Amino acid sequence: MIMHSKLSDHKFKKGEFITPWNNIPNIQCLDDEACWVYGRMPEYLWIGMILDKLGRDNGIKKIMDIFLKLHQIAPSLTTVRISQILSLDKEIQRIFFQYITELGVQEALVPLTILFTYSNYPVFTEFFYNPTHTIDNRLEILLNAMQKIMDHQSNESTDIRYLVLIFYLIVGKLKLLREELDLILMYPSTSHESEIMRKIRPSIRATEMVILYNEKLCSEFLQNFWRNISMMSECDAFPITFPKETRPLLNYMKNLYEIFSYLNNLFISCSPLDEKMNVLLGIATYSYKRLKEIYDHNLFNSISGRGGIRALIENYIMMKYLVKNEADHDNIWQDYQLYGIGCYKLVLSRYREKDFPIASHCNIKYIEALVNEFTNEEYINMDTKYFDKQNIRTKAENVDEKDLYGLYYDYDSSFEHGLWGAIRESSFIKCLNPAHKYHCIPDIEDKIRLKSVLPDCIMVMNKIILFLNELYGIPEQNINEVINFEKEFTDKQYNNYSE
Amino acid sequence: MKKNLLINNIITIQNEYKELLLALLPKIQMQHCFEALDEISIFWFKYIKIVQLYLYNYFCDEDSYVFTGFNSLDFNSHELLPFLLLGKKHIFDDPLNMYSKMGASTSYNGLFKDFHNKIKITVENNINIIKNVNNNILILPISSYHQVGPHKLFFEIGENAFISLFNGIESIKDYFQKCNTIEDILQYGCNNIDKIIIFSENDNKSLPIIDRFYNAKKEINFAINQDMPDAHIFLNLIIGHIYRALDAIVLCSEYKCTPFIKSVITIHYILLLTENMTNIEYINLLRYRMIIAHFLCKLFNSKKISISNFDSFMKVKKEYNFNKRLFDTLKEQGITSSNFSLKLIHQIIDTELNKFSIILN
Repeated sequence: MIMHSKLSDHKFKKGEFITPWNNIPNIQCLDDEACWVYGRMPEYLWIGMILDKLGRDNGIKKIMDIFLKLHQIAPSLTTVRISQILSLDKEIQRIFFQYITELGVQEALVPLTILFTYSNYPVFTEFFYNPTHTIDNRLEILLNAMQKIMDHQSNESTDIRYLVLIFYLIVGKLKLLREELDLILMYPSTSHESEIMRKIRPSIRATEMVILYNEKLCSEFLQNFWRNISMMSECDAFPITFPKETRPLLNYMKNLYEIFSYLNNLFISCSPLDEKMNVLLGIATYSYKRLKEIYDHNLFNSISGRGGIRALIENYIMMKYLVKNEADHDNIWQDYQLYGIGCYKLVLSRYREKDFPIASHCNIKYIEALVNEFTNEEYINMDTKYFDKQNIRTKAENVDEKDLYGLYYDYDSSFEHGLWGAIRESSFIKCLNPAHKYHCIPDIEDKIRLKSVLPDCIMVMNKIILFLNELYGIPEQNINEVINFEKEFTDKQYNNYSE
Repeated sequence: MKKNLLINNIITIQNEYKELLLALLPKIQMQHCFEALDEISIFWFKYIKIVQLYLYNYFCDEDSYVFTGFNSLDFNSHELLPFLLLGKKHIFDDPLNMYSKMGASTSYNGLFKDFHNKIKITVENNINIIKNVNNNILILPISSYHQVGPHKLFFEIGENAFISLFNGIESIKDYFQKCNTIEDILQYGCNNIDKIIIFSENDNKSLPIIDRFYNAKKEINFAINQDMPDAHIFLNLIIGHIYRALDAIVLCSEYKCTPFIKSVITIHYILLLTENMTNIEYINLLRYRMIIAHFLCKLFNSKKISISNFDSFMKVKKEYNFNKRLFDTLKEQGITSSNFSLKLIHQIIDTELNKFSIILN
């Protein structure tokens, strides 16, 4: 199992959490051309194809013979990268490929003729072009072979890396200690499942990495390889689809409506001019309407659903914050409203500076009326900072809702702001084609279904209800309905909800 | 120039194709011909998605013309000039991709020399076209990119069309069981089979059909086994034309464009195959525009219409707007896709070409 560093292991510097690994001076990831997938696998694919065709045992034996021959005819060659082999003198290539043919290994390399074509690699096609193999057939074999060796730690890629290492030993470019050499020489005759391989395999891979620093990298070859192979094959889309939300919510929504009706009537009849109740009920009603929109349009599995739950969380935190701080902040209820109206006024002012775009969804005349509803706008400032000079994270800590912010709100903020994590999760489908380097493709067909926000919506809405209950009292039967619903929901249905 | 990623890619592909052909041309020796064709196939295989995106989004239009029918487009004889006179977009349906597929099954006999020569000429023509026409004609293997139906279905339709020429024959297998000689074939042939079929460009329809068959057989002597029964030869003579015609119909139906076809035989078989489809508006339009294009090709006299260079031809063509004038005249004369007279179309095209040649000269 891969172990990951904890948050507490990170160093927090100037607003950024630095990983323990990145904190080590001069440490950096391998360049693309040095990494296995992009830079080395294409060069050693020919070895992989021989192993794939002949099997591990026979394949390793044949490749050893091939390597010995290669060293004999090209003693200055210190690598088995195909780009270097194909750059050898044509006569040497002919001798080499002739030898491969005589060994009976020719068939294994036929698929490579879709990459190494006649105009640039005439000697290669001379020996390996076979008209009975269609392009589709060759491509299929090539992709299957690539799939097996894309993982740098797979059995097949470790076999290749072992052979690469052996060539380095043959040409005398690598010296090993006796003990290391004994282990490595055990490799071909030892099954990958053997216990000793847990020691040998990492040793081989680590030693093979050392070779990298002595190797000549051929950028043009790699670029052409990836360009050509990616263009020749289709994407193999693999969308992540969570189950569609179908759990019945009708009763819960009915109960919510009952509660809000009660609160509404309570406000109108008992405290119609109470600013505090006005604001708290306003925020709660807005939350109720957001949840109702998610329910009415079945947005639980959608991007909009995440926007909705984020709004619920922010509203709940704001409600708690306002109540907690009302004693220390005079007119907090009025100031909160003026802050929001000031934000509207700012938009209104901008529109006035320019020609009003007629088709805009922002009804400026109506906005103007709202801004001037209770106070002439000339008395309303426009505060561009956070309300009360604290962002939502600080407010959440202030009201002991740090987890609600850190575990839910922050995640949903990525969706609301269109940050890359959310874009990747909601709008990109993984492609399983190794020739496309497992890239991602835009989800135009809307195949991705995100995990449902329903349980969290209920959780946060109930927090809001209970909070209002503490302040104003809500009939017990109504409260119990929503609480019991959450309890049943969590106990029974959630456990049966499989992903 | 306005940015357009797809068009820019298509232009880049044309240039890359030219470079590839230039690299392959001197290397197309007898024994490496098929490796070269394979590389051409791989080249187009790589770009299939881009080309199809272009065809569906930028080429699908009745004012788009495709030079098809498995003929070459001879650059040196100015064959492309009448092709360019009509419409707005032009594609030469490159047969090299098809040759690659045929090549895999062609053995080293007399047919191979002829085949190899054809490849060489096509490569040379393609290079000249890309070099000299400034992307006014795109060279794309458009026939190879059929999306419509699997090839098996395509061949079945062709075989059914062939079988429909006979009475009392239900299938190709049945045909071979019942027919051996040309006399057997004619015995089962439908009424007017002699008027329906054409064997080759040199087919003299005034002769009895048996004589016509033997003349056509002589023309392809180099390609056939002398012991082959008449029934096989007859099939080979006709079904190739049927497939070519079907190919053009399917291709142009898929991309909603107009075929520009040199060969009167292919035109003949297209008209034959689409005879019962004239209730489909698009087919009517295809037949109408195809005839106009074919007559233009035949009537265009490159000796009469001389050009100093290609660019000046294109400039005059654009300013004169031959295409619009021609179709306006046809319309004024009451000629439409649902009501056209071949004789009248022929006369009008001749007149318009004469007018154009005066302007050009």
